[in-house]
Amino acid sequence: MVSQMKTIARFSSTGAKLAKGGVTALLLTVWIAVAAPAAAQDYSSGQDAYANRDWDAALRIWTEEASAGSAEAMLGLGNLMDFGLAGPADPVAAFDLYSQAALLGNAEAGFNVAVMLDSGVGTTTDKRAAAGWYSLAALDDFPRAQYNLGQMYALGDGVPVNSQLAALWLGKAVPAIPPSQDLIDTLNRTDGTDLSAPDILQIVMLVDDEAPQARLAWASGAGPEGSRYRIEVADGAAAPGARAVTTTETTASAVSIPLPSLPEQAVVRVFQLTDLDYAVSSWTGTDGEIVDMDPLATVRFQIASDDRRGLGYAERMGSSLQRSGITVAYDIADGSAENSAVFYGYDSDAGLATNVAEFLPGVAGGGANRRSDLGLAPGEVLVRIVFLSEG
Amino acid sequence: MLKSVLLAVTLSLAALPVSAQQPVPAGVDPEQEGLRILFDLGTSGIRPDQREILDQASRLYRDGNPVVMIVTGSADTVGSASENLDLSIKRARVVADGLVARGIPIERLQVLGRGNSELPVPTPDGVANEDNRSVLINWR
Repeated sequence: MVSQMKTIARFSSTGAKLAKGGVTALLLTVWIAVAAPAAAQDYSSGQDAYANRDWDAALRIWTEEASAGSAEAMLGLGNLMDFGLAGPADPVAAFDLYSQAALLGNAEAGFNVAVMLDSGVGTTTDKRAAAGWYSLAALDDFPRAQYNLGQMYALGDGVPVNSQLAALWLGKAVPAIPPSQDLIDTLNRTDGTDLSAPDILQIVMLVDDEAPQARLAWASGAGPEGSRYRIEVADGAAAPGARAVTTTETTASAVSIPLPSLPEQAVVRVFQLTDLDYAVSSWTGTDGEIVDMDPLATVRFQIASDDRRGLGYAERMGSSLQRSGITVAYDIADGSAENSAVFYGYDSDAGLATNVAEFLPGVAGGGANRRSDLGLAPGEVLVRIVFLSEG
Repeated sequence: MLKSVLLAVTLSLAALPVSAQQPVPAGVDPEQEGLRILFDLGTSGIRPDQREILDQASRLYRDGNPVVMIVTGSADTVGSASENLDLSIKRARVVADGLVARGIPIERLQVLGRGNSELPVPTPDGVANEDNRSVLINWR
C-alpha cells in the first residue's frame, strides 16, 4: 500500500516535469514506475535524497518545502549552495539560506551561520556575531557549537576571556567531544573581580504551536565568585506602568525563555549579578539596537490596610516618582512592620534607595538598608510606610 | 617504487578509510593552504602546542558538509623510506582520530600517508626538516 502511494507521488511530479511530452511521456513514466523501481529513486525527504547524494532530487524537494517555510529545507538548500552540489558553490547564497533557517530556530543552520561568520566564508568575518549563533546552537545541545564557543571564551576570541563560561560550554560538549576535557584542564580558572554589563549578542523570537519563546545569547567577562546572569524580557510597546517583565536566571550565556504572549516589540536586558550587586546591559531590541526605555527602577510601597495617612503619603510620593520614570507598585501588607524603612537588594540601588529615604519622614536610622532576604529584584527598592494610625 | 610501497601499506590499514590516490578533489581552492600539524622527530603523538590546530580545523567544518577533509601525513628524510612511510601514515591517522574526536564525521575523512614523497620542503636524505614532519589538513 505504501509503495503504491509513493509511486503515485512520483508519477505526478515526474509527469509535471515532462508535461510537454504529453501522453507518450506519461506512458513512459508509468513504464518506468512499473519496470524500474530502483532506477528513479523515491525519497521520503530532501534529507533522504541528500544522503543518497541525489542532489537534483534534494534540490527539487527542498525548494518546494523551503517556499512553504520549512527551516530544514532552507538548511538543505544552504548545504547544496554551500558545497557546490547544485551548480557552482555560492557561499553568499548559502549564508543567506542558513540565516533564514537559523532565525526559525534551526540549530544546525545556526551553527553553520556561526562557522561562516567565524571564518569569513560567504560573509565578512564577525567573531562576535559568530559567538552569538554558536551560543544559540549550544543552547540546543549542539556539541560542536558548545566546543567552538568554549574555545572562543577560553581564548577571548570575539568575546571577553571568560574561563567560567569556557568551562561551562566545554563541559557540556565533553560526552560528544572528549578533547573538550583537555581544553578544560588547560583553562586558567579565575573569577573576575568586578561585575560588568553583559553584551547581548543575539535575540531570536520563536512562535510555533507552543508558547512563544525568546532565545537569546550574550557575552560577558568572568564575574566574581558566585555570579550569575539574570535575563528580563519585556514588551517595549507596552505602557510603562503595564509592562510585564518575564525573568529567569542562569550561569550560562544563552537561554530560552517561554513567554506568556508574544511581545509587540520585544526588548531584553541581561544582568550579571552576585548576591550583593549587579551590572546590567541596556534594553536591547531584536534588531540588536539599544532601546531607550525607562524605567530601570521599581519602587514598591508596603502599607498596612488601615494606615490611611501612610497610604495617602505613599500615593503622593509614588506619583512624583512615576513622573521621573520610575515604576511604582503598592502592596498592602498588614502586620509586622513597626517603623517606616527603605530597603534595597543590591548595592547599585543604594543611591535611589537613599534618595527615597531622605524624602520619607520617620525612617529608622535615617537611611536605606540592603537586605538580601526580602526577594528584591535588581533595580527594586522597597519602601515600608508606617504612619500613626488615626485610630 | 615508493608509490607502490605506499599503496601496499595503506591497503593494510582498515579502521579508517585510507587511500593512496591523488588527494585534490574538484573544487579545491588553491588559495586555501590548509592547516599543518607538526610532529617531533620519529614520533606520531600530537604535541600539546599543536592541539589548537586540530581545534581550528574542526571549527571551520560546517554541518552537512559532504566534501571530504583530506589528512595527509609526511615524514622527514631521516631513516629509511619505508619506516617514514609507516610513520607518515601513523601521523595522518592520529590527526584523523583527533578530528573524529572533535565531531567530524569519520566518513568525511580521507587519510593519506606520503612518506618522503611530495614533501612540503624537498630535501636530500637524512635531513631533519620540521615542516616535513607534519600532517596537512585541507578540504574543498
